[in-house]
Amino acid sequence: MAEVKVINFIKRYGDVDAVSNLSLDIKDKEFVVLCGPSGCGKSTTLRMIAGLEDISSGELYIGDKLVNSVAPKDRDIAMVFQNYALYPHMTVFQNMAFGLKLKKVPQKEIQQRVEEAAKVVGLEPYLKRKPGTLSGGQRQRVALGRAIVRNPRVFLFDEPLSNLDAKLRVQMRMEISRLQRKLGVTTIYVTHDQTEAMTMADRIAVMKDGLLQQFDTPMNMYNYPANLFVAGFIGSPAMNLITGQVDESMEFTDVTQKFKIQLQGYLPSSVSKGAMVLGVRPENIHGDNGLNISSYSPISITPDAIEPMGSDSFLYSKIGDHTFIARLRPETHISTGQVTTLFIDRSKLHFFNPETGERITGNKQ
Amino acid sequence: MRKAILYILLCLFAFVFLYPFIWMVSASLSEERSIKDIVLTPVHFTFEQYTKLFQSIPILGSLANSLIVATAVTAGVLILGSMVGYALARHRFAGRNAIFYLILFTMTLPFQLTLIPNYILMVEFGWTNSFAALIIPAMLNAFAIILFRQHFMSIPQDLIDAARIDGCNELRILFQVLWPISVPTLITVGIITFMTSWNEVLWPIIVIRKESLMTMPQLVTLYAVGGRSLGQIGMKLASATMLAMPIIIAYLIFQKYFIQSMANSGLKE
Ligand SMILES: Nc1ncnc2c1ncn2[C@@H]1O[C@H](COP(=O)(O)OP(=O)(O)O)[C@@H](O)[C@H]1O
Ligand SMILES: [Mg+2]
Repeated sequence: MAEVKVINFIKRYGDVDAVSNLSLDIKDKEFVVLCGPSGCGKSTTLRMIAGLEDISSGELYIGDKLVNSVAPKDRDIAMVFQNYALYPHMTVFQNMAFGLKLKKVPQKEIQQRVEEAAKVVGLEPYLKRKPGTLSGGQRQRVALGRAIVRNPRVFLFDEPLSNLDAKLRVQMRMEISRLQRKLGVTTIYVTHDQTEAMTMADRIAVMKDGLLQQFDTPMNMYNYPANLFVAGFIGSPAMNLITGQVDESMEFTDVTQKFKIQLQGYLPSSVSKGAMVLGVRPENIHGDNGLNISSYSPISITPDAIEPMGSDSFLYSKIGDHTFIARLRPETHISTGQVTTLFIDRSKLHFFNPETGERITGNKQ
Repeated sequence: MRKAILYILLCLFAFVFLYPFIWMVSASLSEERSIKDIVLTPVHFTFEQYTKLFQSIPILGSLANSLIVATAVTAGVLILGSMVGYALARHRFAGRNAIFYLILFTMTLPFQLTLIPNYILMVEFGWTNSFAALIIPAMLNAFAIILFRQHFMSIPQDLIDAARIDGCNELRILFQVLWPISVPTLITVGIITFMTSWNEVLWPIIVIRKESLMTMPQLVTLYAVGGRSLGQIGMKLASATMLAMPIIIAYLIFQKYFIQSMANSGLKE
């Protein structure tokens, strides 16, 4: 079991930094998800941790040991890849046993460990099959089994579920989480899918353009996004971000002058007036006033489209160029094209500095 | 109906291509005096031509020599060619592209241009009149390197990474992970190399003088058209048939493998 310390990682490709000054302090047994849009440096980071890519600058500790120049096979890690990366010419058994064989583990022990791992991932009946005859989900299980059988101190996953269909993805998501908790192995998991990050992680590290944006628990990230990027990235549908001004009377008006909301008592104490980006999560907008809750503030809106999802209805409306989204209860009766009153829960607002994009702290939640 | 016409046409063409070969085999199994006829099957079937052939020239020894040389050359090209191809495809190092273009460039040099310098080298090394002269210069070639490089570039990086994490060094990655999934390329390069080496005449004539070391094409050329030419056409045809047989057999065997390996590669990209 081991903690992983990533200290000031930099990866340079020519003149570009694929990863800049990344530091992560990962605790023993922790499940950390690296998340961000495609090309933000997640895989590069993971591959540096695995030893598949040189670290241009920075230090990597696994346990107490500096492993910058340790070969991948000696880092005590196991990795699962998006394309499964199984050896097509070997059976499931041989795929799982290959690493142990190279480590000169006795045949008897290999047999026993592979069978155990196969049991854990539910592959016992398939040990003699070749990967080509298995379904995508089964192949990813083989890859998982191959990782488990090594008994590593750290699991590394690089988008392991991206090639699976939606239903299987949800199922495998839970299985991986359960397995990780059961085995208690420190895990670093890369995905571009914020839902996967939110559901699986103990802590999420959101990256953009090679830079760490925020490293926190899913709930903190959801409730206190550190900047505009994280605010827009975490949560689905994405947070509404409205640019505007706060005047002397503490009223917020957006740039189109159409959206107004009184913020007296809800603003962070450090702010008075001036330019600001207001963040409202779609789920904090309601179709009615509840039980006359004082923090609810009415707004008038003309819906362009309504998408009934069954469990919720998504309402879309234009405010300037911004598509304003509200997530309403399915029984809310609203028609497109008619002016409607919705209620924003002012106790759940987010405020950002429009210049730096940073969260304005000090606000109540 | 159109399909039938197509098939008839195809068969016709196939026959046109095959006929000289059929005639060669048939004629080599016929009596000497009936050989000038245009036939499909042997006239007065006899092994006489072959018996005479074995009695008059050391053709079996040359067959063994040819097999040894072509096998060694093929093994060399497969092993060394895949190593160079792998390095060029999957490793980043200074001068990689320069080296690749240099290798490409050697393909444009005509064989005749390097013939004399190569011969002088062989003399300097003292390799004339030995298999070393036939095998070593042929153990690596640009064509094989390029084919392997192209093939290895198409292998998913994940697979190589997985092998590395499992504890493979570069040689093991190449021979234990990549070779088994590269059978079609190996067979293609193997067949072409083997055939080229097998059919080589000019180079052996230059570097080999000892009859006991001669390859089959060299020996046959010598006796069929060269200084020690045999008068009878039947024996010439018998030697030509013997020359062609191993290649045809090898091709038939490996073609089966070829199709099999194509169907079996279950690598998901
Ligand atoms: N071998 C390489 N050479 C040059 N640039 C690379 C190389 N590998 C990755 N990059 C660049 O580094 C950035 C991060 O890539 P990557 O870590 O794969 O992103 P992610 O996994 O987050 O999608 C990308 O802009 C990519 O183009
Ligand atoms: Mg990636």
